[in-house]
Formats: sequence, C-alpha cells, structure tokens
Amino acid sequence: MRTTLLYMIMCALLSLSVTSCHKDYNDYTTTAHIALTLPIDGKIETIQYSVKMVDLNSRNTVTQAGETRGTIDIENLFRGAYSIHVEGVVRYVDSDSIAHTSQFRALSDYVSLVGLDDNVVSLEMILMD
Amino acid sequence: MRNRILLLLLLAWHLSATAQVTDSTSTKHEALVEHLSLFNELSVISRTNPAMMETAYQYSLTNFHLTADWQKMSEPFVLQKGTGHFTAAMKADSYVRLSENTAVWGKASYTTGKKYDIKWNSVADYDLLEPDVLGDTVGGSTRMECYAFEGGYGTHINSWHVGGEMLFRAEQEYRKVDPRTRSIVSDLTLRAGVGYDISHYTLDFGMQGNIYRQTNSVDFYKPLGSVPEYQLMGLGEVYTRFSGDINDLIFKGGGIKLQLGLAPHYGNGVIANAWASQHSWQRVARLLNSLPLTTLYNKEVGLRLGWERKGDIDYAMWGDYQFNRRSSDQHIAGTSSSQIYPVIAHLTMYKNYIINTSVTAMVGNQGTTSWVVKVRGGYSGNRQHFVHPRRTMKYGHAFGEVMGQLMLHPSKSWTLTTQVDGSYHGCTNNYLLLPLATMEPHFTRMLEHNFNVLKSNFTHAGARLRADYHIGNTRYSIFGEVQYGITISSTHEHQNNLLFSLGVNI
Repeated sequence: MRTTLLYMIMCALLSLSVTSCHKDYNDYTTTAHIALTLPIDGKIETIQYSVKMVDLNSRNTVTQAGETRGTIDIENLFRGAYSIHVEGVVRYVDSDSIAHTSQFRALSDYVSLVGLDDNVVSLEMILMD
Repeated sequence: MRNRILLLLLLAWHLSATAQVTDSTSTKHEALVEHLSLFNELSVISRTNPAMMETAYQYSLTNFHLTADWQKMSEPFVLQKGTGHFTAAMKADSYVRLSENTAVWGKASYTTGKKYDIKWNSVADYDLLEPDVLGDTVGGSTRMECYAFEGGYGTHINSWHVGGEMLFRAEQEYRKVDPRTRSIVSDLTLRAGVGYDISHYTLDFGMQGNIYRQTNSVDFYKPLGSVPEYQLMGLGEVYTRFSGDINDLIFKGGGIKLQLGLAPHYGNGVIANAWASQHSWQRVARLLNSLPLTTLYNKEVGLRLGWERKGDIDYAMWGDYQFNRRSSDQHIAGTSSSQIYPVIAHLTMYKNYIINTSVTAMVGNQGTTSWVVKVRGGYSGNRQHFVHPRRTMKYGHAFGEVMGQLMLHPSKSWTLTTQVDGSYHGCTNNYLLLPLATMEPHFTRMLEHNFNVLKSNFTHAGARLRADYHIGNTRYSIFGEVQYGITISSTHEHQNNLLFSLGVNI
C-alpha cells in the first residue's frame, strides 16, 4: 500500500516537472556596433553622425547622434530586425594624405540584431560630394 | 454532425432505460437532490478525474432539455466580448449506474445563437486566446453554432478505481457583414485516472491531454470599406509588421493537466486536491507560409483543502487557491524571401498573473426537504504587463458571496427547487500605465473603457426556480426552469441574464 502511494506521488511530481518545462525569453536587449567604412582608400579622422534605426516588426524607432572615429555603439537596443539610416559629416585623409570633409549617408534595409551580446554591422558610407 | 447527436441521444436513452433504477417517485426526488445539490461543488475538482466519477452519484439520472439563454449589457464590460448573447440549445446529460461498481456518463449538445456588438476581436474563444487575437475597430454581432460531446466510463476493482473520459467540441462563429470573420474550432480533451483506497479515503491521480485548433479568416466584400485587422499582442500593442491584411490565421495548441486528490469514502473527513497544467496556443499566419507570430502559454496551479461531515446536518468548509501565469512569446521575423520569413528570435513580451483565493463554508441537509446555505469570501487579482513599450494594468477585488438552495417534495408528483444568490466584489487596488504619447487614440480608448469597468465594484443578485413533475409510476418526469441574474457595476453599467429550460428526466 505504501509503495503504491509513493509510486503515485512520484508519478505526479515527475509529471508536474514536465509541465513546467517552458522558459521565458527575457533577454530583451543587446548592443549594436555599426562600423562605418569609406568607399575609397583612406583613414577616418572623425565622423559627426545621426542614426535612425527602425524595428521592422514593431515600427519602433531608435535615434542617436554623436561623434565617433568609425564605430557607432548603440546600447540597450531591443533585439530584432532593423533598418538603419546613418547620415552626417566625415573628415578623412585619402591615400595621398590629403584631408577631406564630406557629407555622407549609409543605410541598410535589413539587419538582424538578435545576438545576446554584441552585434557588429558594417556599413559603407556613400559620400555625397 | 446532427446525426451523431441523435445517435448519442439514443445511446443515452438506451443506457438509462437498461439501468437498474427503482422507479418510485421518492427515488426520483432523491436522485434530483443528489444531482442538483450545491454540495456537489465540493467535489467538482475530484470529478474531473474520471476514476472518481464512479462514486460521484448513487442514482442514475438522464435528462434531455431545450434551453434559451439571453444576456444583455447596457455597455460591454469588455469590448472584445460584446454586449451579450442569445443562444438556444438542445442538450442531453446522462449519468447511468450500470452496476454497483461501474458507471457511465455523457453529454451531448447543439447550441446556436448570436453574440452582440463585439469589437477588437475577430476570433472565437476569446477567453482562451486573449490577448493574442486578431481584431478591428468595426466589429459587430456574430452568429455561432456549437456541437459538444462528452462520454466517460468509470469502475472500481477491489481497491482500485479506474476511469476514462473524452470531451469534444466543434464550433463555428461567423459574421455575414463586413468584416466577415469566420472561425472554426475543434477542441478534443482526453482524460484518464486511477484511484486507490487507503483506509476510508481514496487517493486519486488523473491526467488530461488537450488538442486545440482554430482556423480563422476575415474577409471584406467592399474593398473600399475595409479596415485594418490588427494582430493584437496585449494591452493594445500590435504586431505592426503583419497587421493590416494578414487575415488568415490558425491557432493551434493544446496541453496537459495533472491532478492529485484525496477524498473520504462516506463524506466524512478531509478533502484535498492539487493540480497543475500547462497549455499553449500558437498563432500562425497561413498567408505567410505558416509563419508563427506569437505563442501564448497558460500555466496553472491550484490547491483545494477542506473538510466535510455528513450526518443529520451536513457541513463542509474548504479553501481554494488558484494561480495562473499567462505569457506570450513574440516570434521575431527576419527578412522575407519569396514570402518565407525566418524566425530569428523569440521574446516574451506579455505577462499576466491571475490569482483567485477563497474560503467557502456550507451547511445543509439532504432529505425530503433539502436545504443548503453557502458563504464564500476571497480575493481575485489580475496583473498584466507588456515589456516594451512598457504598459501595465492591474486590478484586484475582495469579494463576498451568499447562496441558498431549497428543494421541496410537496407531493408525490412534484419536486421544487429554488435558489437565490447575492455577491459583492469591491475593488481594492487598480493601476494603469500606458505610453500615451505614442499610442493611437482608439487603442487608448479601448483600454480605458475595459479598465474602467474591470476596476469597478460589482453587485450581483440571482434567482433560480425549477419544478419537476413526476409522471405517475413511470420512470419519466418533466421539468421547467427559469433563472435570472443581474450584475450592476459602480460605473452604473448593468448586465441582465435570463435562462429558460424545458426538459424531461429519465
């Protein structure tokens, strides 16, 4: 009788553990590193930029502005699929060591930013003049 | 389908006709008292284990009846559920004791009717699937048809009780004007259980499996008059990318439930039940090559602990605790290739915690004149969150409820049942946080409407009158029943319920 009782309770406990197997996905945010590259040989000295990222699924928008030497870091970004639009001014020196200042744009219709830690995206700048 | 119902009705009739039942009118009265008594509420959880159904009733009782059910609200309490309904149903309900150790039971019903003024919901089974539903701002009344069957078998051999049960529901809900929603549901539940006698108690263990499927579509015959269908995800948030014209969905899911119970043999002693379940329903976009959009999970645990004593006066007292945790995972879609979207991540965006706890006391007597008085008090709370943009809604109610039942046997031919109840739900806490600056106004209005009603205080009163006429020395009796209930909220909205039934007992 006692064995039967123990067997039934063990079955119940085992089954209960099976029912609670689903875990939540609570890793909501990540960090995106947008590496801007020149379309020509040269070295970036500084970039003043504004970036707009649109979550393709929710249409939520993230914007940021600042200055960098080549990589834009965006922290606490919701993991997801994004379009990216960067514009601003870049100062660089070309292979002949001549300095230039130029307006630029860089964009992508789709990037996947779902990595749990760092996500690196490389975008080539389109120089406007 | 209707032929199947007729077949089941005939089967129930045949089983009841072959059952070993004494035909005296006092036995008919005792069978009614046993089957209709409020004391059955104490065992309602145990009886979801089919192994425990064999000992549920001493007397067989089968009835066939027609029912008309009308509900009307001054304003919808929840916009997604509409302002009420009118349904007509044909039902059969049977419990037949085949021998001292064996019983079979079954139900069959066909229900048809209309639900009025639904908004923000284009699917059937809203209570099951919310908040992951399709919805629009226009809505309207819907028509529904439902076929439901249930059948079970329970027996006991020496100290062991075993039983099995199957429940099936097929339902369709549709609208004949734009937006022309059509939902077709099939819902199958299988139960199996065992019990073992220990001293003067039965320890029971039951398992339940469920398979659910709903196909859903919304059409517009006037293209210029169409409105967007929103893929709602909770607290007014939508899956924007696939809202608009992705109106062809499947909800597929199911789950399991496990329960453990302890029940005294002769109604004297401790009664205990514990159960846990997990169910999930995935929303799939058929037009996008079966892209899963969201998966809703419902985990539930519950506990009932009580004590009962049967004698000249019957007593029972028990406490209930039930906790539900509902959560919804959004499946993040990547970029498409020929309308095939990969799922690149999952995020649990919606979380809902529901708690219901109460203490119930009951006193009564079962005899020629039976009476029961039930008193219950408790707390119910509901807390919902959407992670980003952050939204929160919560409300809680303390409640008290009183119910009384009187069953009379004034002459050989009559059994009269009267029942009255009253309750009050008082709001103890409420809170609403919305990202108002980024929300479209019609979403805000929808949420504020629901919140204002849900957080209000509710007063309810109801009454039920049933008369059973036993026809001479035959095994038949006919009955008529009327029920009325009114619920009034502190926002001055009210809901009326009226139900008529007419049927025959065997």
